[in-house]
Amino acid sequence: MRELDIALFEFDQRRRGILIVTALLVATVGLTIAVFPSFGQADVDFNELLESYPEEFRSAFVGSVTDISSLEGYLVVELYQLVWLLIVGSYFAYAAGSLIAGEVDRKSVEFILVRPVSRTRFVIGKFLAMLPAVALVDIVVFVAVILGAGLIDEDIRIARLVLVHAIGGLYLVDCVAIGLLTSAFFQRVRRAQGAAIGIVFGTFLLDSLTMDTDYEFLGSLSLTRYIDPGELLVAGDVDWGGVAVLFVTTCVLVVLAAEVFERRDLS
Amino acid sequence: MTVPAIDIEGLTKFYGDVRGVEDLDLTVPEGELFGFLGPNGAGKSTTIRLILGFLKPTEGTASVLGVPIDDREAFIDVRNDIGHIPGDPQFYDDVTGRKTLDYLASLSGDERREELLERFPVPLDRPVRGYSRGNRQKLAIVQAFMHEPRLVVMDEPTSGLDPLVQQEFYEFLREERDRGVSVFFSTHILSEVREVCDQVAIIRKGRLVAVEHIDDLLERSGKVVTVQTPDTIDIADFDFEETIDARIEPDGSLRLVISGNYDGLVDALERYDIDDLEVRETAIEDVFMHFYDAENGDESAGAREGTDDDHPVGDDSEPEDAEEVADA
Repeated sequence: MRELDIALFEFDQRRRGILIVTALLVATVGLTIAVFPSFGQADVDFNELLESYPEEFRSAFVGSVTDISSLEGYLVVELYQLVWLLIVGSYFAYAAGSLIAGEVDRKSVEFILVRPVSRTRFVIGKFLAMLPAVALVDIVVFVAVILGAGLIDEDIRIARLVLVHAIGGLYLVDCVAIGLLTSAFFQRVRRAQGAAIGIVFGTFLLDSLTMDTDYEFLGSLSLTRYIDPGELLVAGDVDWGGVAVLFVTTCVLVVLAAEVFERRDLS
Repeated sequence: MTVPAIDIEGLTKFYGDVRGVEDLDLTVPEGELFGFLGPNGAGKSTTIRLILGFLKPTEGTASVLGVPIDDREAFIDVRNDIGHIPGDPQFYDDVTGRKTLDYLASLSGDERREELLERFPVPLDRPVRGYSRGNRQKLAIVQAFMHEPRLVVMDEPTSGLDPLVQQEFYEFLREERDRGVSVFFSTHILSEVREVCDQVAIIRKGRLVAVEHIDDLLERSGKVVTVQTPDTIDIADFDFEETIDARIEPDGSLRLVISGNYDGLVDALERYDIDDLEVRETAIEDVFMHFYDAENGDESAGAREGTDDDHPVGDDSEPEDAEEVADA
């Protein structure tokens, strides 16, 4: 299995970066949850405050949540909607942007592709390398949220948290696939990473800004349209159609990346 | 009948309007050391990257070990038998030499790594980031030969090697050839060609100029005569039967290439005062200058050639994005 050899080697090189990102996220989770008790005791009615935000702002950074006095609602607003969907999503798209372009830039790709490894297998190997990275971030943050909730004596429904992290993980894999495609297409690290972040960030904004307008259909181009942390964590409702879209998009993006890379010159 | 190691037919590559190589025909027989000579930007790297499938030809095709490069499936398997050293090889900075070789071996096998490392030792347990250019080159040699390939394609493989290692490498190449391995490598160093090659193909501005056996080349070459005189030289005086080439050098001296006897030369020199006279064996450089100059004469598309000079193509200057390579 040459894909696996490629994946293991790539993951090995990225281990340190992934560990740092994971540690930063754990710190973010810790801070966010530590603030929650004093948040509930404050005199301000945050739900009212939320409602006073402009519609676009709410749909971007708050999501479908209307009650942030529960830990679930609070986490959706403070952690999943903004940090997870936008920042962690952008990070994985960015990181994936160098998967192929990095090797082409430095020409080390020639050592690989002169061996009996097809370009498709090379692309798949690079994609697979990011799966343990996503899994690590996903599982560690999941555990950190449970531990954090325990430390402040709050209950959190674990089954729903599992849903958020399962589908949230799939969303991150999708972001990786976006970076993989820009990486195969541009073959230059800076350009591929810029395009990948631009796509994740741009479609996130597009989805938020067009919500409840005549142009809402434009938001269907965004991955964030198919995942709603608020629905998952607060209501426990799974949009299976959305999950299917996320899964299919990932597959299509990977196949597309492989095919694009098969056809292009390494330059 | 044996299959040629490399068989190139009408191979053409344009980067947009800019020519990489054009209409190249070349056959590299099995079991030879075959040199591919040309100045920087002549299209050597482009050719190598085309026959290894890294670039897609604009027109024409090539077969490597009998397999056409555009046969996606078959061309994967045949790469078990190919080794490659890219120009200016870059590995993975944070990875040690040993792990790099382990990784590459996992993709194509490793029958003789230890033996090669004894000949071309590198600091195996240090990250490649700290390698000198020469050590990187040695690592590239080891990875190219460790899986016992039948054909090795190399882009300027001796650049960065110190002279002793270079000699060792030449010796190694000759041994490999004697074991039946075919070697095709580009270079712009003439002495290298003379030292190791059986045949050489000469490329200039993306076109093949000549394919020659080294022995024939050297046999045909004669003596180089340099004359310094205070008088004005009439080059017609030196156009006798034995003259292969006559020219006035920029410093005003006369330079002749002569094969045969010196009678004509001695007669012609009678008409001049001589400050200095030197007669020496032709270096391989003199022989090749002949090819480069001859090409100059019969290029009809002069204007276009001029543009190419302004935007040299190929080895050192790919047309796009050179500036971004640094971010890798």
